[in-house]
Amino acid sequence: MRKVLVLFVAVFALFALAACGGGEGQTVVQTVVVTEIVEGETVEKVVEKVVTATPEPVDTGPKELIVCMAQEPDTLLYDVVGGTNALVKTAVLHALTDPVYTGLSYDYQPVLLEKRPSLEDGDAEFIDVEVTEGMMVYDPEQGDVVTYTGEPTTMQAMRVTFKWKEGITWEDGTPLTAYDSVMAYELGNRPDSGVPSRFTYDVTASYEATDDYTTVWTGVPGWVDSTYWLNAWGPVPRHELEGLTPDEIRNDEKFARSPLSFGGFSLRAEGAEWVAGDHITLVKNPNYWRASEGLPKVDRLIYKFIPDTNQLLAQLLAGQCDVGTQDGMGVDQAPFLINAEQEGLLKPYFVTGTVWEHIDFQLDPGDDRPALGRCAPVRLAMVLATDRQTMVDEVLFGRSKVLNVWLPEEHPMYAADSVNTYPFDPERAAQILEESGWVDNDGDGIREANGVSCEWVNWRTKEVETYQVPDGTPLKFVLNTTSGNKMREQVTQIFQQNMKDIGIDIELEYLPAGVYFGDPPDGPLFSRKYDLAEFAWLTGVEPPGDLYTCDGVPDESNGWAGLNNTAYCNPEYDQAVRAAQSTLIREEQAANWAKAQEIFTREDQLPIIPLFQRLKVAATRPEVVGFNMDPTENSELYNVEEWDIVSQQ
Amino acid sequence: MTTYLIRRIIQSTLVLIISSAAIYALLNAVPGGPFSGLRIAGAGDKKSQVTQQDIERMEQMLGLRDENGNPIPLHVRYINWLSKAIRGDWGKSWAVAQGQDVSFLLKSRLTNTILLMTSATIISLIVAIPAGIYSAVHQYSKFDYILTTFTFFGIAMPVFWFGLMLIILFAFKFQEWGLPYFPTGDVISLRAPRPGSLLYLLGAEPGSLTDRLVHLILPSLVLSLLYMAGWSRYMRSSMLEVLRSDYVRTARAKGLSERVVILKHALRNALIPIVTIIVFQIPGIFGGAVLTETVFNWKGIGRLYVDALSRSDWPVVMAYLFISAILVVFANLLADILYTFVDPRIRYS
Repeated sequence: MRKVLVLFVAVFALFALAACGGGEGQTVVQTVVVTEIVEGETVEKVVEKVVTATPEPVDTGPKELIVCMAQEPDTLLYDVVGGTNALVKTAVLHALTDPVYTGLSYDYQPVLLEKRPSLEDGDAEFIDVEVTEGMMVYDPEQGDVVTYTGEPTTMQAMRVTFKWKEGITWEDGTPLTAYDSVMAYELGNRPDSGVPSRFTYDVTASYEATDDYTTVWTGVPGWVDSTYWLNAWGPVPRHELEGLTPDEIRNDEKFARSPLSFGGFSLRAEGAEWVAGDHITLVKNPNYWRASEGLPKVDRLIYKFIPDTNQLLAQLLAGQCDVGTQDGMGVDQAPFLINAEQEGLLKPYFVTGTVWEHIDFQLDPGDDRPALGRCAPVRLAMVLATDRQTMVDEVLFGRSKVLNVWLPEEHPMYAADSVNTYPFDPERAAQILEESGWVDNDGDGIREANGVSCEWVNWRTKEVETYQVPDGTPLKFVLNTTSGNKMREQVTQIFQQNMKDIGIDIELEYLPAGVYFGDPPDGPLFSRKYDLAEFAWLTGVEPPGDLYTCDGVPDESNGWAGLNNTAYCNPEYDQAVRAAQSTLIREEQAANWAKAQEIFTREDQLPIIPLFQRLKVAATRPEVVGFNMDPTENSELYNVEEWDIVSQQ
Repeated sequence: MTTYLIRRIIQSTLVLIISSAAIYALLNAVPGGPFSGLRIAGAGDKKSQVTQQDIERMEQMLGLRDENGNPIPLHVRYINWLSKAIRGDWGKSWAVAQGQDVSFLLKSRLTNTILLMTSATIISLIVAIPAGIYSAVHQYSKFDYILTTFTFFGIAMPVFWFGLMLIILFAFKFQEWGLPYFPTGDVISLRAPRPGSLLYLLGAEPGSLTDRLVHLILPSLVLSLLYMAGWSRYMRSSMLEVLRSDYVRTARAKGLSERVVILKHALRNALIPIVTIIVFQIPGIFGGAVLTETVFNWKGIGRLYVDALSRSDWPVVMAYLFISAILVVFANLLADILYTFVDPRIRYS
């Protein structure tokens, strides 16, 4: 035992000694020869000076940057042959390719294109097309592409011309041309392509290259595309893929694990590697088309995968990582990150993203539960009694904003003058309930129905119907959300307390995401078997207003198609949404989206309680420069070639 | 013995078939699946909305539907899977590494897991067996009390918490105190070590043997502590039981030295339960330690399994569970055979 102790002490002492010896920046006495010039004469003398010993400049080798993400991409396979579209994959692809557009600040900026086509400039236009039987046309009534069966007629179709930048090359030196973009379309358009959604291909009549740097997209007659400028496919290397089927591409490891690059970095060059489960090392692409701008700024870019948030933060602090991405950390880490920022250890980023949380009512339950969500005064009272600012302050540390509708205030289509807002007002909420017949008869703190009848629009018939709530029905809801999400747990607990304060009983039920979002008829959300549901939707450049249209209610009768889980229906709202979506004139779009927002937030509508935008959280070491997070650009690595490290130890 | 072995192998095969069928059926009964998130992923944007037809098309690509788009019955899919699995073809990953062979994925993590688990097992055995023996022989001594306290501490302490404490102490506090500090995690370094770190002091190049060994210290320490706590307790109680038996008393009565009594007469019998523990560590050596691997970012099989499970990557999960089942059955058989060597009184017929 004694020997073990002695050994331990000896090892410890060794470490301690080594630590003393290995320190840096310590003060030492050193004799140096200096040359002093005295009144024009050069005199050499020996002096003793105290100097601070700094390490000799060491050749640190290539400049490298380590990006730590929680998850490893499953593949880097092209989307057009079935590669998944995950955030972590995008994060790596940003280093290997440049996108057709970036999507910064609710807008699109061309990267590989000379310009964004527009109707005003004439590179997007409507053309007349002779339509005969058997041709594919878009039917606005069905909302889908159908085979034309009527008499020959003339219809309008959209045509968009894309001008690609010249001078871009693949890493092997082959010029990147319009034909590479067409190759992507051709692969994706095959029945065996494996793309998740076929809609864009279905509404495309043709996509062709007219010369090396021009592609032309033509839509099927009748299809009016509000984001027509997006119909340019990201290029794939035609010279590598020509003649291969999607299945052959999928089964060739080269394309899934080391695709040919035209971005700032390469995964095929010497020194690049993908060690499964561990890391991906990319090296600078010498043929990068922006090399003349001095990009990329680092020589090696390493993606490391750390699923455990504590470990990821530890590695950031310890300098084993330079950047921690948004998939690896959340708002729970905000206090730690703020503290680390104050100590100058890390630089955190908090940005409101495009994911927004909301609580949905149920107007037409898929089972025989009471349909209390049909009562507009109850919905209004619950909106008024929800203390959303407290949710933002306590759960998101005040770093986000309360939402009023399905768009954030910074969205260009947000209509501040039209949206009806409902600041926290529990007294008014209680009064509304009282006046509409919800009173606490038995003194248990929960209100009961007392002669309550509610008017609602039945989405099947689009007619107004009356729903009589049986007297004595308690004002009680079960609120479902996903389990294992701390933020949602906190939010729903605040909501539960808010509702209790006005006499509404809320029972919380947390379900695994797989169950909760499961396909109908099993999954409760889209089979409408719930009272209240808390979850998130995604907004983007296009407003997500059509989530709440009458024809989007998922039901057995329509094969559970659609995402309007609330069963809210208002033909006037539908009309405004359709009008906004079917026009390409920006002023008309804005006016119709404003109308839709106004209708949606009227006191007798409010099918949801919009809560707040979720935060995107990331952090870098202080020496990393060029990092930026944007609300609408999904991955913060969109400009990774511009990132730099100003000093490395 | 041969008859016994043949009988056991047949029994084991049956157990494996039943267990794999049960696992397959259970996994398929789990709500969700590889496409569960797609429905809402494209919401709000008609161009990227995924319809039921789209999902069915993708299910066809994964072999869940036949050429006509009809769902393939569960039992048919199971038989197809089993016939391939027997030949070592575990299929391709759906989600963790889309399109990659599952066997490649497993192999890519196996070395790390075996390294960690073997080190932890060896360290634990080297410490736990002598400590257990010493503690039993010197029952109620100071050492015995210290060991008992240590074992309760080791058993009660959550691995993730202890791992974090070690990281804070050895990686951050050591750095603060100017001592050579450890890396917080990983299997190897990806960049040259920072001045002041233990790796820098040892001149460890990224990926070198020294680099690997230094990275191994903290995770194997955490795991060893956990194993040591339990195993030393087993060894102690087993030894105590043997020391009270008649033949040990007889040996002492014969005038044999205490050393011979303990090491020659008592230890061999006391080791029988330990053999079971060690043999049952075999599936663990393959299966890895999920929490330790996660806390220290150790790229092992355990982490792969959890990742595959959370992303509904059933081919990877099935392969992991089936191989684990095989190893458990094999470990059982091996333990029974080893008993005959350790204890000559045991005979199989």
